[in-house]
Amino acid sequence: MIEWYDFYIFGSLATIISTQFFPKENASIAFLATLATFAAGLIVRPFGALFFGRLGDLIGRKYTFMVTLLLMGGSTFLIGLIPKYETIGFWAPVIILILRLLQGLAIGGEYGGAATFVAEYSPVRKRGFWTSWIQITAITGFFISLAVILITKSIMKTTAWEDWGWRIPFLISIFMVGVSVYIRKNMAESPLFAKAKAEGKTAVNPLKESFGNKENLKVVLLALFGVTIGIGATAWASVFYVQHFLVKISFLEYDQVNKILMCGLLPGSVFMIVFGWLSDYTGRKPLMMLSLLLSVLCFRPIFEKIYQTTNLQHKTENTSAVTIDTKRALLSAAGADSLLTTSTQRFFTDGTVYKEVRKDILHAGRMQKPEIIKTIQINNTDKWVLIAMIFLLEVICSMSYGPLAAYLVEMFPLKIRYSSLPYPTI
Amino acid sequence: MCPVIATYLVEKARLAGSANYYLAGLNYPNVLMALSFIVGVLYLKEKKGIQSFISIHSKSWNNAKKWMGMVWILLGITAVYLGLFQLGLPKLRSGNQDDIIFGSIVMFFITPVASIGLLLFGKYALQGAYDE
Repeated sequence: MIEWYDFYIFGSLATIISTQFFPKENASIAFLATLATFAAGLIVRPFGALFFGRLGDLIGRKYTFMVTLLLMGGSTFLIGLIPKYETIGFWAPVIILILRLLQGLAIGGEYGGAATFVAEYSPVRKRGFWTSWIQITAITGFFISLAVILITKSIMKTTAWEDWGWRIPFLISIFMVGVSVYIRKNMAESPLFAKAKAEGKTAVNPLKESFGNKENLKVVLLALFGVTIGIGATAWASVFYVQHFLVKISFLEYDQVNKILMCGLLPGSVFMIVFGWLSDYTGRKPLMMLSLLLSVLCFRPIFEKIYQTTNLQHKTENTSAVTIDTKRALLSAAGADSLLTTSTQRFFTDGTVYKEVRKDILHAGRMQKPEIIKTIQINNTDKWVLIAMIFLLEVICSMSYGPLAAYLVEMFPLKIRYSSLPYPTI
Repeated sequence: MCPVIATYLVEKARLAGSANYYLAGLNYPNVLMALSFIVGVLYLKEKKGIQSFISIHSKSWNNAKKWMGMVWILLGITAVYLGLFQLGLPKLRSGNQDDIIFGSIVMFFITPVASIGLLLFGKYALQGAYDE
């Protein structure tokens, strides 16, 4: 859970990171570059799986994910210390990319280790139930990242948050890692791995056995195309992309989006445990396939509903209540540079409020491209509609994500499990 | 990959004036989910518990799996063509920063994984490696 927190905090703060560590000339490219940096962490996951998976199959599960935890937590903490683009120029995005790659390596080694560890501890007939707790950590990690952002933002002024406050969620990661290290130090090695090691049945070269052996490679490919790319897409679309959809496409206010997500995700993710448990009786495949089918059929209508719920064209404006506030500030003593900020608020009969802040900058006698920030504060009724949609997305996702770890663990033989299992989860 | 590719697709659809531009980002996950569903229904096995109601243990089912191997190989070849000549290289040469980001992801990550993976998967399927 702590590693997922570290992993998601970057994505949850993507909007502000794009303004801190990337050139400000083009906001949409800066945001895309931030998401690409976020994706870079995902790209190197297989290499993390490769390296730490090998280590896990050779020296054991316990010590390997102690290393991955420290790598992840250390990188997150350091992201919170990087100077801004204005201070160190292009070094800022370069350093953040390097730290993001280290995070990707760590999470690549972590997921397979955690799933394998829990699966090997659990009774065979309850494996789906037990490993679903590993699956739910991805959502709780995301949930906690949103909660930490909301709490941190609420205890300081907006200017302080934008200036330095956003670093706090990265910095406090070090305390969470400390707690996790303490817990892991007191854990015993997986009983199945300990037994295999005692009997000399651990793999000598797990990578060669995983990928140099056709029997194992074909399973890796089947897991990749038949399970993980689809379920991965379902999970990303229903959890992470929906946040960007609400903020960047529907223009909902960031804090309100986070609250809506938390209200929808938490009850929805409980179904991971339910479906993990159910998979012990019905089998994993029917649930996973049903989830994929529902995702293909329902995601488009659900996102359409989300968009139309926030669409101002469907709302009636109270035109007499419009407020326009204009402020002019001189940016240089001679008066050649100035900033004109126009804040417009429009009110709708259902309680929705639209706010637009337009910044016109006059620099060296020339008008710059105006910066326009639009936000919508949705009314209470529509808020509950959005929460219901997020909940629905999460339930569909849980149907496949809950039993996923158990299914993957059961696909691979014990001695190459750690090396092979994370590979298809790219 | 989903957030960055979906964001790029939405931005391009919006600039192109597409009416439902806001849903364009779902095309990428939808393709992956549909592919996984077809592969999963056909090839995944149920190792424990109640046997899957989808899996049909018959000779004709094995034949279908083998013949679908051809489809995966063709998809692998299509992935090479689309990844290199339709999406990768043209985007990298466009000079637009957002296109370069997208082109790099397609060219250096998605294309190798999709093409090599699908070609090998198709080959194994054709050889009957996934038969019941």
